Amino acid sequence: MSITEVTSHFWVARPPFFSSTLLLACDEGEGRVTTTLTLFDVDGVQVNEVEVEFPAGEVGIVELEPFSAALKMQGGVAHGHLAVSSPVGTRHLCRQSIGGSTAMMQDPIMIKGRESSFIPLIIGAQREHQVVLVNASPEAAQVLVRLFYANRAPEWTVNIPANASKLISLEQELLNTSEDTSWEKGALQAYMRVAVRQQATVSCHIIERIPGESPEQDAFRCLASW
Amino acid sequence: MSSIVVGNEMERVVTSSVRTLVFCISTAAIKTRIHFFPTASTGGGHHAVSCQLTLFGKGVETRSILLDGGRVNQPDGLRLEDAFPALRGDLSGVFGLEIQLASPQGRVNLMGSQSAVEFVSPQFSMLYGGAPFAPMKSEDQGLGGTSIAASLQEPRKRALSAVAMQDSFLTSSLVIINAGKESLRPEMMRRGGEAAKPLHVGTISPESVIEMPLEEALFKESAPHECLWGASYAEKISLSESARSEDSSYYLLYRDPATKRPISVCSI
Repeated sequence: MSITEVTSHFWVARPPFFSSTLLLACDEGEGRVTTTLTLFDVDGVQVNEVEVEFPAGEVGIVELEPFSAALKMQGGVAHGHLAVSSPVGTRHLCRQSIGGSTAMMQDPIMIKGRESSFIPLIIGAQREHQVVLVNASPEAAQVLVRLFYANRAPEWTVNIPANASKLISLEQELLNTSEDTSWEKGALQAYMRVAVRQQATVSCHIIERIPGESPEQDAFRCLASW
Repeated sequence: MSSIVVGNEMERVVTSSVRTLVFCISTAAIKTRIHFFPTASTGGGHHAVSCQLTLFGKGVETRSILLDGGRVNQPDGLRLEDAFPALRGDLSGVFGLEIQLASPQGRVNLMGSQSAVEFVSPQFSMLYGGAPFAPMKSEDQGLGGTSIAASLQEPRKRALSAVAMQDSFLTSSLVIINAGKESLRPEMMRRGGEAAKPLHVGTISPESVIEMPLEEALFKESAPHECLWGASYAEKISLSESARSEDSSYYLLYRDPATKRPISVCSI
């Protein structure tokens, strides 16, 4: 990346259940703006790279479905890591549709070095969470995921290949590996803290599902590290 | 106290005391939870951190409360009405909240701290991230708008723009927070480049917050984008660099057009 470019890293996913749309707003005064989209699958393999152009001063809207056919399934979802590079001053946003819910996501905080990030969430038997980790760097990442709830703070280490994304069930793959089951009762305020070892750069999202009486009535929200 | 050398001069920057401005909503149906994460990229162990919350806005007396017992790298939060019981009453609207984090250990750099605001109702909840924390003014030297303060914020700095949308799933409002003691008249633009036009937002009173719905008039000159979910209008909203001040923050709030419930918030 040169100093004349800004790069954002988004988690994107494919229909039928998810849909991701990129929004680009550039500060450049005139002419056309070129943005490069590089898409990596869950293993970090580059599956597509495209350039899009739009008039400066206007909002560029890029529906990602046509570009993401090569994304592989993991955890029941076809998803991946999208790197978006534009002239400096450009704002990148991602509109995520999950089931019947819509959210506008700003580019997430990238966690690197000795920094860490947090996401508040409610845990309990009535909610399910998918933790999404995106490695934005060209080297493998070792991510430390710690969950604070009640007076407990279990921690797990998750390995993510270079440029890859990983979907992990918080309840099934993380919490169920500890002996404590107190979180299953009621609804507990919890905080997820994410940090990285080595020099990698990662972002973290959480997809929360609150089951309804039927699948159509399920409620979703997408939380990012910000 | 952290110090940074610039050229031949040493400027004093208090990075162990930081602040951010967020907005909260209080209605009969919607309450606000505040979450904060004091974090120190330069270590900091588990040093104590205090958190001061100051609530302001139309209909409330500006009040501050101090929470102690916090620790570096330990997330925490609370229901806002527990801190400000006035919000349990009939007060309804959008309010401003200043979050200050401070460590008595002057060498702890809290600039990487984060905050999140959660709107909760029986039917839904949504979260957004607060604007990046900025250093507090040093007692002996103001920092507002100095290059050193700007450089400290650089890793988290984003373009001063956002995207307003209107379609069958989203409608947009501009939220402006003025925590200062003087009126604010920000210079904002819609669209960009040669097509840029002023966006008139009026004057924001001291210690107040406005939510300005971006009505259809904003979008009538833009062509609709035909998307998978139907026709969608989008406009770039931007803030002039001169309008950014330490006593103001700007957010774009997206609501459900039918129910008006908040869906997402992006900081500008």
